[in-house]
Amino acid sequence: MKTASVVAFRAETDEGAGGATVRVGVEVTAAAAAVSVLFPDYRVPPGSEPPDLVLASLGERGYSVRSKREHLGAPTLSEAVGLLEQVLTRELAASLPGFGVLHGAAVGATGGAVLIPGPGGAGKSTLAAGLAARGCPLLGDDVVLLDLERGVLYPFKRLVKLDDRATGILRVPPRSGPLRSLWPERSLFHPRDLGSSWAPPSSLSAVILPRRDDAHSGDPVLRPVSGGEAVKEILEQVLLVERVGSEEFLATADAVASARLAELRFRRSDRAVELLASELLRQHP
Amino acid sequence: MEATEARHRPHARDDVVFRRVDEDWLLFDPVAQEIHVLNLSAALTWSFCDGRRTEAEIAREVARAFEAPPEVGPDEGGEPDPRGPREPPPEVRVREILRRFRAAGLLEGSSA
Repeated sequence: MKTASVVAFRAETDEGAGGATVRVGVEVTAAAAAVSVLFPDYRVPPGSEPPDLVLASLGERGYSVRSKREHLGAPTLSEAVGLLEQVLTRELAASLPGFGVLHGAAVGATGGAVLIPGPGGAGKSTLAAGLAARGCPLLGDDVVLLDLERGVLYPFKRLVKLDDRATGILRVPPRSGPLRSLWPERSLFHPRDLGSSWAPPSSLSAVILPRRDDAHSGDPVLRPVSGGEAVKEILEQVLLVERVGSEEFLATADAVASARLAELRFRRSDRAVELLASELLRQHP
Repeated sequence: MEATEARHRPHARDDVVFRRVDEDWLLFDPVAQEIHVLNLSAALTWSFCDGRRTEAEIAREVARAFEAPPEVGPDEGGEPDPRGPREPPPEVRVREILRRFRAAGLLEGSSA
C-alpha cells in the first residue's frame, strides 16, 4: 500500500511516560491533505511502521476506512474523512485505558479545565471558540480526553470546526481553505486564529452543560446542576465513543465531585459566551 | 398476579453499581451501558433488593424510612385532602419502582 501521508495522534498521558499513538495512513492525496489540515499539530513524517487506520480510495465505489477492528465505506471524501475521525476517536479510546474519550469541548480557565460535554448541535464548539477568543486556551473541540482516575483533561489538537452561522455570531471572519470544498459553509480554526493556544493538561474544575433553547427569552442563565446529572451527561457522551466499565463510572463520579457543575440555558451564543467568560475568568481577570 | 409479585424477593444484580453523587443516587448497568438517576424512594427500594425481602417487606421498609403515616383515603372515611391528591402509598410506589427495575433488567432473573 502506498501512503501519501502518515499522521500520528498522540495523547501525552504523563510527562516522560508517553501515551497512546494511532497512526493513520491515507492513500489519496486529497484525503491526506484533509487529515493533515484538520490535525496539523499531530503530523509526523511517514514512518516504517504500518498505520493503524487506513483511508483509501475505492475508485467509483467511493472510499474506505479500515482499522484492525472494522472496515467501513463512505461514498464521498468528506463523509470518509468524517468516518475516519469517528474511527480514530474509537481507536484512541481503545489505546488509552483509564481515559474517557468523549464528545465535548474543553478550555482552560481560572482554576483549571472547563468541560462542556454535549452532542452535536448543542453549541459547544461555538462556546469553546468564543471562550478561546476571550483568552481561554483550548483543550479540545468535539473530542475531549479525560483521565478519569486523576480528573485531568488532556488536549486533543483537532482544529475547531465552525459553521458560518457560528462565525457570524462570534464575529470571526470565515476562512477559506483546502477543506472548504469538503465541508461547505464550515471553517476550521487553529487556536492561534482565535488569539489563543492549546492548553496544557489541566485538572477538571467545572462542567458546563450547554442547553441551547430557541424558545429561551432574555439573558442566558447559568444554574447549578446536581452531580448525578453531570455524571450522567458526561458518561452519555463517553458512551457515544466507547464502552464504560464500573471503574470508569466510579472514577467519573469522583472526578466531578469537586468541580463546579452548572447548566447554561441560552438562545444567543454570543451572550452565552460573555456570561461564561465573565464567570470563568472572574477570579483572576 | 400482584399477590404473586408481592411474594417475590427482588435481588439487585451484583454487577450493577450504586453510587451517591451529591444529592442524587445513580445506578450504572455495565452490561446495558446505561445510567439511571434514582429519586429517594427508588434508591431506598434498590438498597433493600437483597433477595431476602419480599416486595411487601421492601414496601414496609421504605414506608418506615419515610415514617409514612397510615394511609386513610376518602373511601375509608377520611375527608378529601384540600392540598390535592396524595402521593400513592408506599406499596404502590415500590411496586412501580420494582416494575421499572425489572423492565430495565436491573434485577436478577429479569431481562431488559
